[in-house]
Amino acid sequence: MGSTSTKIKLRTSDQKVFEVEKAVAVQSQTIKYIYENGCPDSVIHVHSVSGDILSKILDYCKKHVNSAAGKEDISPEELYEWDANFVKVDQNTLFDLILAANCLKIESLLDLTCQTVANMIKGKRPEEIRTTFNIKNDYTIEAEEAVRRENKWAFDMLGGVGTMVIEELADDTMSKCVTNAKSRVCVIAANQIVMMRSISKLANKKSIDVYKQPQNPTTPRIKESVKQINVGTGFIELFFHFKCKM
Amino acid sequence: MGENYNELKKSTASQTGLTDVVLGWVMLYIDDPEDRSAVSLVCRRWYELDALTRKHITVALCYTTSPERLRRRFPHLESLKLKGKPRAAMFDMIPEDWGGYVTPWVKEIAENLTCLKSVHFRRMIVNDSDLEVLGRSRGEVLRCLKLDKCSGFSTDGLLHVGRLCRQLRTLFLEDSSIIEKDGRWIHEIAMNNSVLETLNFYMTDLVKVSFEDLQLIARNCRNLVSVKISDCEILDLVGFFHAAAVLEEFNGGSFYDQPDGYAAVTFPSRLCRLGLTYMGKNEMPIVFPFAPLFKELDLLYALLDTEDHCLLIQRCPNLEVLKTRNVIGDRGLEVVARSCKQLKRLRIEADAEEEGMEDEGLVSQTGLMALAQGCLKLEHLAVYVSDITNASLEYIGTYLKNMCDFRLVLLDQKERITDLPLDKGVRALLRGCGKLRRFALHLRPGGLTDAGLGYIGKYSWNIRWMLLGYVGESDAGLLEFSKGCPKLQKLEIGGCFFSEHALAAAMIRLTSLRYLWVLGYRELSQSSRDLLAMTRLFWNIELVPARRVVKTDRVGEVVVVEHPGHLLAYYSLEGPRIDFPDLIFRLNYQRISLYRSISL
Repeated sequence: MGSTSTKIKLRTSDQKVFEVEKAVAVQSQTIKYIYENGCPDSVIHVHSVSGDILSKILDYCKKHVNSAAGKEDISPEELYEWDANFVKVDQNTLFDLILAANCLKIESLLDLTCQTVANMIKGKRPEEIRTTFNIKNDYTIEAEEAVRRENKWAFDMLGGVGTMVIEELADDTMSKCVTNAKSRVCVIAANQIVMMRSISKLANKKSIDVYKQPQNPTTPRIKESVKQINVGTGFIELFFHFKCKM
Repeated sequence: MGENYNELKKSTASQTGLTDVVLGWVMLYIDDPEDRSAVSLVCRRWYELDALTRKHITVALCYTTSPERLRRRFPHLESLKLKGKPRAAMFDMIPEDWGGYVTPWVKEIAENLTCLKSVHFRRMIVNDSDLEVLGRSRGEVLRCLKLDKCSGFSTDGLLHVGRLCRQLRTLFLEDSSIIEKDGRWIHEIAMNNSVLETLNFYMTDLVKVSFEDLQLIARNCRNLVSVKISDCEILDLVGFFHAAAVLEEFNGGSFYDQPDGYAAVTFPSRLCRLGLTYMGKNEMPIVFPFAPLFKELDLLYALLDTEDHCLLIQRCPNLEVLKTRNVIGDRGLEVVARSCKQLKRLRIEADAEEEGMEDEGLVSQTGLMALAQGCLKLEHLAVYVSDITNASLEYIGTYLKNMCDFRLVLLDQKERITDLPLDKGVRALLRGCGKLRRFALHLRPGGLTDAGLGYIGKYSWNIRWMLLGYVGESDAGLLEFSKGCPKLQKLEIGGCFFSEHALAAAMIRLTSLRYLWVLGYRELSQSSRDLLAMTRLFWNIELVPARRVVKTDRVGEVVVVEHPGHLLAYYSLEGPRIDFPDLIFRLNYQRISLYRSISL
């Protein structure tokens, strides 16, 4: 047979065997190295990759090899779209793909998969990230506050939940808030936890309506519901459940 | 990733399969400081992974934290930028011994920060011994050393750098005050370094540098791309230019000889970023052949008039960065608007002498309007104007949508300004330029009303740093301003004379504020009692009272300069600092009393 259709056999961790064209398999630098320095005829073991994952990876490699070689008529935009669909998988599959891409040394796939997960993190607040990946928050309130302070003041990192303080609210807004549960309480800037001074009356309230002013003043205000009211020394903390990203 | 990988492998997987290994790889794709802040707050393990994978940290004021804290959190740091003295130090308003000593940081770097490859100190005090310690401990791995507007060291310190830091790709000394003993340091670099890419000792007054050493550096360092030097006759650099085959950027030099002599100077073929000191009308033609290639042009120290600017700039269609003085005039700006469609950064400084300026050498609303319509890609604009209107600011808001750094200073030359106050214009500018992150406005009494100051607060959604001079009319303006500015981290105020009470109230309202500098404020009481309203946990307040400073000016005359009092306040995790000069007294939260020690 001609060398153009040389096939390589790959055995996965769960004993599945895949036979693929050499050009596709050597997209993996690891396989390429083993093939060129080991025994070309026998089977290459990819211990750390399961059959399902390897199958997907070989799809990826085949698509990219074919498009580069011109065997498939596919534009760069279409390939980009294909890649975007390729990574629309559940989280565990995505993480397994990252591990496998790293182990098999397929740089473009590692790039693609890591960037996908990174995009799931960027622009999000900590609690949103926790929800996305089902992570438990093991910070105490004091520890979290200490990290937030250090980020904000010392290490040039604005952002996160931004537990910033407004200590002054007009008196009439305060009285509205205590007397009429339905009325607007206060308009605060985006991403803030409000700490109000000397509002002992508020401590008895179970819920309050608060309107949040987005950063761009031309966007309409958003109503937030207060999850929790804590009374501190002269301060009251209202913790909001942020529904939208600012 | 090498040395961190083993640490990551050891730890246990989280519930979801998002193991530390995977997360470690993913974190390499997350650079934005705000994202990193969120990541570090997810849970303790993510905090640790963020700390292990963070490559660069900027500490905007060295007193906000300590070297130990930095090292404890980021033990594998590769690149560090530290800033010391307030920006006002660049305008001679801060005592030389104010603080900002790098010594404790260098000690920590030497002992513990083993991965550090890049160090950038800005407006800090550096001793020769610091450079020796740094060189001995990190010399073999240090790739980038920037002593940016620093002081306190001499060429002996640089000798250590030349001898010990042989892997330097970047040596940056621009605008530092260096005591010059000899030129041996540059000789050491020439003998020991073959990988240098960027060499910068621009604006340092170092004159004992030999051009032969420069030539040797150019010959040995095949990747030498950017060189900015102090004054040195251009004709002496012919050999240097010949040897520096891949040079793209050059600033400095000087023209002492007759203009015809320069015809023979050939510049490297890739040169596209240029700033030639004292280049005059007659020398200008030597750069004409290169002009179409120019991406950056620095005319701050050139000797050109308005007509010269027009002649030169019209030949530079690819210009992206232009720095010059307001001799460029409105006419020059119109040429810029017509010719330089790729312009991203423009800085127009004021001429030192203000008398005898003809109208042609001034920048006003006419030039700004032309600029706004012509250079749509402009991102950074800093300009000293002699006249201004609301309409010109409205134009900027309408056209310059990519603007992220805008600074305007209204000069004192003209008694009557065409169109004040600038309330409408400032509002339009801020509403239009949604990407603005840095904003400076220095006017005069009457330049902006309280309502105008309130607009600044209301419409500065993204602004992180602001410098305001002579804006507003009363405390009410400041209080209105402080209701907004959601992301304002650093605020500098000059000449506004708000009361201490208003400053304290404003500071509390500005929810992102971590640094406040005020030049001149209305002291209501000798003991600054009203400022006590500002005291809170972690907030350091330092006051320098009004003082008279006796100086010798450039021509050798003794002058007495009146410095108004100023206040600096910042959040710090380390408590009040102890290395301040006698001049400063602090307000301390814990004891709510004043420490005062002013030397008489």
